[in-house]
Amino acid sequence: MEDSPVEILSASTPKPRIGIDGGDDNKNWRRRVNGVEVSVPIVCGSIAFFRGKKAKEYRTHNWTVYVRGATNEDLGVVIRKVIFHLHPSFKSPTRVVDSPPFTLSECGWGEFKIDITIFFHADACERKLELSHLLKLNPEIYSGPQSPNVPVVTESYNEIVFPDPFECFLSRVNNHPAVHVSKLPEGLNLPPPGDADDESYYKMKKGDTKDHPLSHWFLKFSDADELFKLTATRQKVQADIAKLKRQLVMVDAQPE
Amino acid sequence: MGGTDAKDILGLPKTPLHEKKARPQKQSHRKPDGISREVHALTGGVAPPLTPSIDVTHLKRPPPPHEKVAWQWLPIYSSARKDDLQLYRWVRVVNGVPPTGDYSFAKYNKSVDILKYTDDEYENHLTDPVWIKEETDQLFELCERFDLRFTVIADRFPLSRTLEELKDRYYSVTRALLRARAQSPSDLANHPLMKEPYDMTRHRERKRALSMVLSQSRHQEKKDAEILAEAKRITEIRLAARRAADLDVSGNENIGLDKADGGPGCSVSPSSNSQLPATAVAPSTLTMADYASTLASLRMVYALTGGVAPLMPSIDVTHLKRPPPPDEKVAWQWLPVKSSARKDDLQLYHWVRVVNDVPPTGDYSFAKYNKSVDVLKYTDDEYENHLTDPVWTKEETDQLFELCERFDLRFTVIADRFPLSRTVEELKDRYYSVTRALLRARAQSPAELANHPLIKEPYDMTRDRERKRALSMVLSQSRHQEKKDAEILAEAKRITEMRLAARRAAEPDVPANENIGSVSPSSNSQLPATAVAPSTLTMADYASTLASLRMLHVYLRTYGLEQMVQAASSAVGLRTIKRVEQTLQDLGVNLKPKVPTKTVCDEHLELRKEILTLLNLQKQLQYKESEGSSHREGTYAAMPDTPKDRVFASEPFSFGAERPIKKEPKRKGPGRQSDTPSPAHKRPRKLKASDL
Repeated sequence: MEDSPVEILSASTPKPRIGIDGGDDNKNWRRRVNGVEVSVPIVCGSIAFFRGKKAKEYRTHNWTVYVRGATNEDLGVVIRKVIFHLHPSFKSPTRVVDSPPFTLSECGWGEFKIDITIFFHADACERKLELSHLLKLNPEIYSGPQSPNVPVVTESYNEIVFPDPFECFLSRVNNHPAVHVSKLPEGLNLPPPGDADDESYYKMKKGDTKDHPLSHWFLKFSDADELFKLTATRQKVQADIAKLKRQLVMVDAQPE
Repeated sequence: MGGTDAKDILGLPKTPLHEKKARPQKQSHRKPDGISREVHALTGGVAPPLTPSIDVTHLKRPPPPHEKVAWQWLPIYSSARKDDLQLYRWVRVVNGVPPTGDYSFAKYNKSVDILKYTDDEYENHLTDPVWIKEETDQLFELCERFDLRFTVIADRFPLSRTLEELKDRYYSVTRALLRARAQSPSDLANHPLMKEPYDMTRHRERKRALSMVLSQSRHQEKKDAEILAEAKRITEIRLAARRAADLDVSGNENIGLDKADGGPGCSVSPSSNSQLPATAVAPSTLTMADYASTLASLRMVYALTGGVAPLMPSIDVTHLKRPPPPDEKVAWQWLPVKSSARKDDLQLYHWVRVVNDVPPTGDYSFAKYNKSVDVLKYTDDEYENHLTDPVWTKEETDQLFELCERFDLRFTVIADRFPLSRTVEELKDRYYSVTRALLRARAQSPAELANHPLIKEPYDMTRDRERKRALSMVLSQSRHQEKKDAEILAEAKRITEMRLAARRAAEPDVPANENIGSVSPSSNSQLPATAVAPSTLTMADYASTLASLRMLHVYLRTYGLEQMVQAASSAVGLRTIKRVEQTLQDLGVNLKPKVPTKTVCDEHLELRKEILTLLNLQKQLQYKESEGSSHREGTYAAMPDTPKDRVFASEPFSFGAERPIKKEPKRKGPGRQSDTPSPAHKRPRKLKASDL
């Protein structure tokens, strides 16, 4: 009689390392792998061209907003569709892009915040992810009238992280160039890809942005500089900490 | 004007037919002459009861014809004037005769009799440590001149003395003089100055209190009124309680016994009463007050219901009041009773309701309540084999079972009747364990037993005892304790829920914890004292943040970093966070990484943590040095007087502290704000320059 509350508790927290989601018939399909992280480096950005002679009052710039892989690989492996929420002054401002490359081109005159909602394949994640991007048409620093050949490029690097991914998802994306998989635990046997009955991926057109017409404007992101700076700063701070520690010891040792 | 036009249009009668009442006539009087109609209306139409002091009609009256009035510019002679100043004014002359008598206002020229003292009298009686003779003379002169108008005197007094001081001096001098000059003490006794001597401190207090009260804001006034009302209530309650307690001194023993009854045995109460004689008295007064208050509250509750009890009567009263149906002939007869519950042959009689000469059939109606328990009986062999116990002898067990049989397992009664003193729990324990052992021994197969209630839920003596103890504690709590306990329980519940959520989420995350753990030992080794407390806090924060991130199933790296940074900074204040960010900027690091890969984010987090540690250390060093400098301050200030050795004693401190402090300016180089105390390292340099 005394043990019953404790028993109820333990039944609700799953003990095994591979958590079980869903019913018993989905056992293989829906197991999560703990301790593994799948990250997809993406770049979210916009490129805006001044229309030059063809510019009218309300159509001064041609711009394209996109979500691309950081190395221009095909994001369709993970992303099912992307919805760009434009300013309400646009006709049907909710633009859905359901096949890669996830880009949207439009023509306008104003800068505004674009909300981007990313939907993933069912085996990756059932939740959507939201981010936003500020569309810039004019350069930060005014350097004369805009040339229609030189666009204003605004890009920001980010990574989509899937903690504890599903086994089927992991097996599908493992070794895909667009996806980074953290170190897999040893002895993990992934089911071969294609077992999953997630058809949305296989039905989708494949496409990367390597050959995109704007691809030569894309920025390259490397974390080397930042990493270097960070490690150098950390060393410095650690040295300062050691120094202060020594001082403290000496101050403590002084006679009052 | 009364809407008569509207009424006309609508065709309504102008004067309402049913509203005409006899107006009370006494309200409006005729307006008296001399005041305007509007003023009279303001008073409510009733003439004020006061009569005007000046009879106005007198003024408006034309002068009587035989009087000839003229106004003349005449000199006035006033007895109030001591000088010979001749003043003139207009005088009403009647029939050539100027008015006689003194100037009409002369009678108001009162003056005070100020006593004048001689120098001898001053020497003998009137000397005062605070007042010199000149001052006292001046005071008395002013008093004479200004007729004891002390505000004016205080203003004119050459030295600055408060009003109360002046009064005090004047009155005490006068009193002393009176006493000295008086022929007999009886003269003095009625002198107002003697009867009510001037008390300077009292007046000062009075004035201060008055000024405080008068300068209160309305808000304060309200508060004061509330406090006073509350205090009044409390004193009333206390008085009532004390009065009641005085009446009921002998009642406290009864209360003590009542409490312990029905609890774990009667052995509790006598011991408690003997051990705690003091405390038994105080609760009695409290309980009296409690009774009074509960009675009051009960009365209030009863009043709240509107005075009607909400319960339905269990007996349908109407049924009883119904007259018997006419075809039934009811008679009551004294008949013998046969009850299946009785084992003996005692023949009892009772009144029986006989209907149409047919007595009621069936068993005695209460016989069905005669339940009894099947108490197992064991043989001696069974006892030897299964039921022996170190604490219980066979005789005791037999007696116990006999009592159990007799009293149907009513253990309170059994415990009372048991020849040896055993607690109720012990008796229960013995009975149940014996029965269980018997059942197990006698059972054919274990399957039968499994469903027996005694086997399924065995009696646990310690648990029962604990339960009773806890129950008695809970029931004897005061209301205040109850509230506190409720709060604590709610808090504990919240904490356990949080912990459970964190643990459930964090459980599969064993490798991630190791990641965090690998960083902290390195920092822990450097900072044993300071880092322990913050690191444990942040570890828990990180774990819970990681758990919540994992709950999301997908998130952006930048979002994850933000959450972790927030978790780290939740333990520290806003100012510290700003300093961390300032330090990052000074070092040339982006507050939000431009390329947030996993490694970059991890490094960023670690850097932030290290900066926090650094700032912490700086603060510590600052404190320590300011403590040290306050010591040095003492020696430094005393330097001109101290001997040489004292100076030398302080030197090693400056020597040792010098070297690291010298490095401070170097650290200022890369443009980082230095938080080290500048006065601290100025002083040792000064010492050095002067001494070496």
